[in-house]
Amino acid sequence: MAHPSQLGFQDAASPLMEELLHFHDHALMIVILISTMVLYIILAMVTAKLTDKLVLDSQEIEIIWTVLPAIILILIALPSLRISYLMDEINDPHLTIKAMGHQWYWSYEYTDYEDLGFDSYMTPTQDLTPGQFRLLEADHRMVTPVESPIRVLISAEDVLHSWAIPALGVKVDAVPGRLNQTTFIISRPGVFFGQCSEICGANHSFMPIVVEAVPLQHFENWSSLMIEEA
Amino acid sequence: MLATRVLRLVGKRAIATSVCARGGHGVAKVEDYTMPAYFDRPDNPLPEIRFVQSLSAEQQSLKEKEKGSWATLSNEEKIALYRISFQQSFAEMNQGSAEWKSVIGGVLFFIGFTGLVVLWQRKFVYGPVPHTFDPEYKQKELQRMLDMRINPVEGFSSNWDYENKKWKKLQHFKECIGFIHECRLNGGSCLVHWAPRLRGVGSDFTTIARDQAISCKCAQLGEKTLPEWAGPADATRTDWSEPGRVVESSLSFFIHDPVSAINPADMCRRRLTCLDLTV
Repeated sequence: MAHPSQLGFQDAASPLMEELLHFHDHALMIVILISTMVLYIILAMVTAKLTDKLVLDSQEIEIIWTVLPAIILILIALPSLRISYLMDEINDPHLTIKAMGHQWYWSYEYTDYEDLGFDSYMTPTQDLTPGQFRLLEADHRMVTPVESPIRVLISAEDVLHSWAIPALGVKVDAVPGRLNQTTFIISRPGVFFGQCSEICGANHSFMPIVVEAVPLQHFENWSSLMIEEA
Repeated sequence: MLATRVLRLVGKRAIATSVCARGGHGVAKVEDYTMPAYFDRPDNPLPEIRFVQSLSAEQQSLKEKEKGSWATLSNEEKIALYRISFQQSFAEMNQGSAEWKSVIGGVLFFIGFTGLVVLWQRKFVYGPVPHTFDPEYKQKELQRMLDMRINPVEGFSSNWDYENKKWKKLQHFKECIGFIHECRLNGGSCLVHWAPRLRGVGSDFTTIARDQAISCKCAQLGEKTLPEWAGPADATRTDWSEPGRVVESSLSFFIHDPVSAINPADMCRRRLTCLDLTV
């Protein structure tokens, strides 16, 4: 989750998010450099004492300010495409989870081995135990093993929703009648929060996503427990 | 067209409502903006017409004198000729006004007014915030975030020292020392300002500092003197003692010996030798 008044990204919890952070740094640096240069030029033009209105063309500068932006765009496009294709790589997930969006909660189904399914409702503010995070906690978390490729199939039962977790670099629309797939690997154990990212009605802001990454043994214990309880 | 050219020769400003023959098809009213006009612009230095259109007798005789050698003109006459042709000099044209003060004043006033509106809203319009904003609740939330290792790489939890149960300080000591080193290698010098209130620095530092402090006085800009190492005698000076303790604990970065086993003065001398900064 973000700490109060945080402006930047959360620390990456998956290798893909790390790549996204690096790319963002790269692109933002280019943007800052260009903006600084433009701001300087604006200030120089505004504060110039005399305006030379009779310079009508110049081949050298025209060449420079055509070629240089093309180069800059290539320098942005290459890492961007690389990371885009990285996201679509074929991998071999150890686990498949189905996340279904409803108004206004998520439901998760682990059906690889046994039939395990449960709903995940937001914990209402008045029911929070001291220290829990308002609007982020849910009654049942989606538990996953750490450092394993996980495939999540996302869809919706009624209207559009979106399953998003910033720390993992995941945001996938939940479209009714469509199955969207994402895969990720969670690099470190912990709890990662996200919020529904597609407007879906009155309680759109109140259907968070909570993913808990635990060592495999713990995951197996949890899933056995959940199946027994059902 | 013809009418304006004729009138310009005479030096008189044409009457706005004079008619203008247009290729035999009829007449059109001559508009003000199509007539030559006077202007003062720094980027367009020569206006279309002279500023003073109807010259007095004195000015006319001056104009006649202008037709002769200019060396015979006095300074005042040259200025008078200038003022006939132009209303403002470049200096007068380009001088700023005091308008910016009114603008800034107005902007600040409205910002202040907005602040008052916000305060009024907070008191009379908004309801209470949720109970999760209570200080005790926030404290528990913070503790839980640390326990859960939220953002442990570069974010929130990375700033907490879990062993000593306090916030970390002086994360960028390595970079600072590197920078000072580079300044000196390039022949310059570096003014180092020790902030007296480092985050987390408390009274325990002063105590330790009094026992085995080193104080580091760095060179002023322009002087090539090296840092001088004072002994514990200087430790009682509160502005030196905190950096001394901080330097001691932070230099353990570079030398992986336990801090307590090392005389801080020796350690600093050793470190500066590595950086080629000692004599």
